[in-house]
Amino acid sequence: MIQLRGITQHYSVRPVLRHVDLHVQRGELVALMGPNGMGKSTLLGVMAGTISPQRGEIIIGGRTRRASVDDELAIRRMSVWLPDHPWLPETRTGREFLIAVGQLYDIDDDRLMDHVERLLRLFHLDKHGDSPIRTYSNGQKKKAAIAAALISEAPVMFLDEPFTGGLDPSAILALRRVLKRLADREDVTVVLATQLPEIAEALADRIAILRDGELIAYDTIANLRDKPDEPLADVLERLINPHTLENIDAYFEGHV
Amino acid sequence: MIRNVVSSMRQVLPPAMWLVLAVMLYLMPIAASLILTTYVDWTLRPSGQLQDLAGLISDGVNNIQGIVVFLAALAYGGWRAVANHPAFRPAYNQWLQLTPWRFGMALPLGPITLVPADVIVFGVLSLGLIYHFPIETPATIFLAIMFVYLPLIALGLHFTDQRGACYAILASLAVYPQLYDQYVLLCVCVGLIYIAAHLLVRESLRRYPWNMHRLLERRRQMRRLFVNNTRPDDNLGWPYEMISLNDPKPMIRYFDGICVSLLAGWAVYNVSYRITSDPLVEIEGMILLALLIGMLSLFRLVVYCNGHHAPISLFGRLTTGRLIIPKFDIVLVAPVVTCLVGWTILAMGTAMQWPASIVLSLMTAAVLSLVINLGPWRSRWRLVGAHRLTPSMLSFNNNKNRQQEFAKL
Repeated sequence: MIQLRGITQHYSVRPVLRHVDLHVQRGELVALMGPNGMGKSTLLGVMAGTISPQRGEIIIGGRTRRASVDDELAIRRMSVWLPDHPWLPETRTGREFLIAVGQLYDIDDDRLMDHVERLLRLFHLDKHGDSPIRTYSNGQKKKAAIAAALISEAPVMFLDEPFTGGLDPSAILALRRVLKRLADREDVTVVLATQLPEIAEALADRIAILRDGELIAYDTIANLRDKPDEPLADVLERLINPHTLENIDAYFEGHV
Repeated sequence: MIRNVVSSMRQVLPPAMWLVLAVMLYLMPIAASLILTTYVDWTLRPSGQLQDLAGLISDGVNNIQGIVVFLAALAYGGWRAVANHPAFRPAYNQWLQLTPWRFGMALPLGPITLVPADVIVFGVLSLGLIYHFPIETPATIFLAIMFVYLPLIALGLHFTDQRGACYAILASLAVYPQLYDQYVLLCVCVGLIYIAAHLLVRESLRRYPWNMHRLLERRRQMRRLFVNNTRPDDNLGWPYEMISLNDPKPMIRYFDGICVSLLAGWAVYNVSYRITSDPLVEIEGMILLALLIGMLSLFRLVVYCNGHHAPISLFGRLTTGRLIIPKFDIVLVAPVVTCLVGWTILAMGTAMQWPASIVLSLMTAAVLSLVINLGPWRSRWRLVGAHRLTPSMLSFNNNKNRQQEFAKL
């Protein structure tokens, strides 16, 4: 469904991504993990089409990103992107916003109205659905942004840190279940960036680990483990930050 | 008979509120003068200056009322062109398409072209103007009405896809500056232009129904370009406002782009040749024009690159040796070419002592033509260009939260 070939990206001099190759199957849920500033959001941006990489190509649903007007339009119609910091139209109500996004994606009106109601209820926004977004708390804004991504009914979703930004536990649970179900039963392909091992463990079919702009591991959780019972947090620690434990010891022992 | 006259007057006159407003504007100077005269009478009678001041106030009131009548004639011309024209009123057009109306029948809201009822309005306005400015003639009112009516009718023809006719009418309005000192000839020419416009409007009505979808789409595009962020479907926040899911279409077709450029050049010539026939020699004027060309080019660049930035920074280009990124830098070609051509015409005109009107009109036509017509299409480039999408500047400025987020970054 999604193929990245030799993606290299730099904004200035320092390369943010180096020769990244990635292949995501239809209906697969892939978690992008890695230390801060190592290219997760950039890689998602490249897939979502907000960034044009210096080298490499992105193929989604058999079409190459920005190769032609038809290809790009087809990809835009089949994918949705939730950025880390989505900015919402403050003066519109949550319901208006969701309807507008649904109409952007050409969702049938009846289905759209029904879906909006269900999403507002799912994220406990039904009482605030008719209030302007500027009156929402940060968590409610994040919920509205997630609901907007879901209302698009896009078969490919790129979600940057969807579980952060003030979401309450019930919203986290709801989003986990919804994403899992979308991937398992409705063949929706999801690529999400997250720092939370428990989320990745519960949801991801495969985990892609980025470090220094390179894809250092991309496999199922089982294959990433050295031992069958090794906790995922330890696996990640070993792969992402191999020196963390040494650094902690050094800190307490006063070494440099 | 009276009922018929009233009925036809109702079809051509603006709503009662507007008429009341016009009458109030007309009477307001009298009210003001009464107050002023009372004040003057009370304070200045002892000094003996009363006679002079009363005369001045009376002249002032007369002049203001005359100007109000003239402005009313301009407004009436605009009203008559737009009020009953389905092309300017989408809801009316939509409704009309559902009725059995066909060419030859009277339009339900009233006629687009002038009818005998207009003569009454014309007569009243002429009398009003002559009363206040005895040296004026009814021709002034006729010319004023036509000065607004004809361009709007031309615009209506553009909406109904008679684009060539639209530009021809607009170009012919150059008779106003060309013949302004030959009153009779000017009236005859404007009369002839009106007859042509009248026939063209009939022709457009013969082709009714027009393609309303195309009209609405065109308006939507223009609104997106010029008043971005005011339509609900544009104001969707980040990232939805920046992704376009519609097929790209050229904002302005080549024919329109070239005609508009030529028309602008023609308009500049007609206005400027009356002002001066001297060569362009003043250095300040040249610098100002050169800056104007640069700003126009920059405007195009901003329109293209708003929310669509270069994929790597200038520093990144220099240090990595990737000086040119063809799929992004193509948007720079038109502004650069525009500047070069505009400045070349300016320099050549000055060096060869061409009259300023020629230089200005040539420059206007060439620069506008390049800015409007040179590729790539904005909507196409936004899909396939090698750019980096960011929130648009306009909505960023309108959103305090965005500014706070940006400050954090």
